Amino acid sequence: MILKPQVLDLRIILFFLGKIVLGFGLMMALPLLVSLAYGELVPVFDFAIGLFVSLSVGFILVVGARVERDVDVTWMHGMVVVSMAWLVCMFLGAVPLHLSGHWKSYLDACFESMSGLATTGLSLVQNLDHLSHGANLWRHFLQFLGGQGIVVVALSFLVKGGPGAFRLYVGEARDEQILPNVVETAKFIWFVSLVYLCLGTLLLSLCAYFSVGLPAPEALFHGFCIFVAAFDTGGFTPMSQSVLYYQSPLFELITLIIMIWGSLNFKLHYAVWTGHRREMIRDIEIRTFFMTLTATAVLVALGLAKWGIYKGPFVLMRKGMYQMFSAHTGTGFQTIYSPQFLTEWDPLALFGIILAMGLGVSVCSTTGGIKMLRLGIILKAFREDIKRFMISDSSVVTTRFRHLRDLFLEDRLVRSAALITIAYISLYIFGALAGCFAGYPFLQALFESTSAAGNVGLSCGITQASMPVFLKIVYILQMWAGRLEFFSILVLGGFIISYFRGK
Amino acid sequence: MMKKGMVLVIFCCFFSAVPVFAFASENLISEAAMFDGSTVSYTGEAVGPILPRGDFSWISLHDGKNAISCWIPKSLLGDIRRTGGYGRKGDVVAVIGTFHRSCPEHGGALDIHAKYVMLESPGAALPEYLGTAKIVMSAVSLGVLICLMIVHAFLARRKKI
Repeated sequence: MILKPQVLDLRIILFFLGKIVLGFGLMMALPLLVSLAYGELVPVFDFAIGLFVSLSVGFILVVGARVERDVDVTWMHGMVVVSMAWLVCMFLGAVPLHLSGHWKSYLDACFESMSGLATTGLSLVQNLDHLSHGANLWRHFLQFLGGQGIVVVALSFLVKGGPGAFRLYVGEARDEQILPNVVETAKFIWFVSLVYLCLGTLLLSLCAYFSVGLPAPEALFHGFCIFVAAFDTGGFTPMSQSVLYYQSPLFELITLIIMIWGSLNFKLHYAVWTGHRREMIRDIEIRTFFMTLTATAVLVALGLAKWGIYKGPFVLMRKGMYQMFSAHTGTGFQTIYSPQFLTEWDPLALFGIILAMGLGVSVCSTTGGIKMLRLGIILKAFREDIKRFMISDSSVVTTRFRHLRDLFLEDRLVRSAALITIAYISLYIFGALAGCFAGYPFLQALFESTSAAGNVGLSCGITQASMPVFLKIVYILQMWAGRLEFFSILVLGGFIISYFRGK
Repeated sequence: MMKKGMVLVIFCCFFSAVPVFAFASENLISEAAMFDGSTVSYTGEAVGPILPRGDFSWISLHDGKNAISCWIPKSLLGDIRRTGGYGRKGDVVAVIGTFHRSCPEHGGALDIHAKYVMLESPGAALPEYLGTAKIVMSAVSLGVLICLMIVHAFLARRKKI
């Protein structure tokens, strides 16, 4: 028998949803101030409306629900709050974007908002090169908020700690608690991110000023935007030509390093901060990442060598390998035009890129996709099974691996890794079939679908304002499910079903 | 506006003795192999800051579909100064030059090395338009927010008492 959720369950969910929306809404003050600083009058009003509407929605939820702050938050509450929060924030984050007039419809603005929050980077913006600094900053800042986690924002400032906070935190596909208290963990994530933000922005701004040749204020603006997009593996850029606009190998190299750094597990960052640098070479994620990086690089290099478009290792690095790293880390920066993937790249190279996009990098990072920990566990399980066949029946085989600490390969870990991997592959295929239904060839549809569901952002040209509405909705759902790693969304589905069918 | 571009094309055809055709960015990108190494004419609005590189500069020209980077000697820049951005339309520039599908000089970039450059139409400021609807919307949403904040504060105070 399915139990129907109580009124108190609903009130708890709406109360914490309201808290998250309040935290999210307050963040619109930053682009508002930037618009003011640049003297952009109309965007000031766009963001003021967005800010007021978001805060009003937040207050309505908090006042309407009114529960005690120390109320018992269950796993179900945490999961439902998080999955709903991402949808509500998508709708609210799209308000100032839509008001700017650079998106053809509110749905397109929602697509952009979800793409930013999920750190995907697929874009439906029109006339990007004339977009205001405020709106452009908001697109990039959405990546920062989504990358660090909307819930992390709320946990840091608005919600007290305890088991309830931990359940919200886990719902956002983060299972690594760095410090004993989850609120302290959230604050640590913010602290580290802000330190990286300052250093990275400074480095990129200096490069943009001296090497690229941008004027000082623009160098600072581009430095901030590109750092946020690279570190949070988002992939938005302030210019329509993506990273190609800058025409600077040094700038590309710095973004490459930031992309890789941003794709690593946050707990590995903590290990580095606390002096345990050896973890960087012992961890199963890093080792598997190195293996898949090599494999996909070979595929891309072989494919490109076949067609011979990029002559010499330097050119191959800037064009072939840059897209490959961008795909694998889930960033989505491009130094080629989208149609070139289809017209200039061999299908083998394209397959390498699709594979890299689908795999992702680290858990507890901003990258999407299957992720190296799960792939590493599955590969270890295969090896263990083969070993079992080769030794006597009476022998006991145990496998250990290193992921932040020494762990034994248990069946439940393998099962969990295999389940999520199957879910991701199904999601990629589902999106590809939707693309085929819309009339695109399978390889093209698979490329775009993997990019959306893996939260990557590379495009081979399908993602345009003119694409069918249903495909936009499919990609939004893929980005959402891919970022939250399914469970909280499945729980939300279960919650809705039990609300209507439960007794 | 297009007349000047046509004059440039005819001028270049006459003097270079090689026919030059004007292309849209969409054609150049999707059929890059076909145009590789040939002389093309391309027109677009200069967007984003001009990026100086010694005796040359990079200018991104956007024709409404895509922007293509053009490698232009400083001596040809002439009056091209205003580039497009928020609140301003950039100079519309016509270039004739060699199209590269994967430029060996610039790390494999798809670009055009300009030989002739002409300013088709100068850029201009685009005045901001703040509609009444936005002012009303912001005032109403602010009013609603203030009311909700008062209710919230009142309920919080009553709970304390």
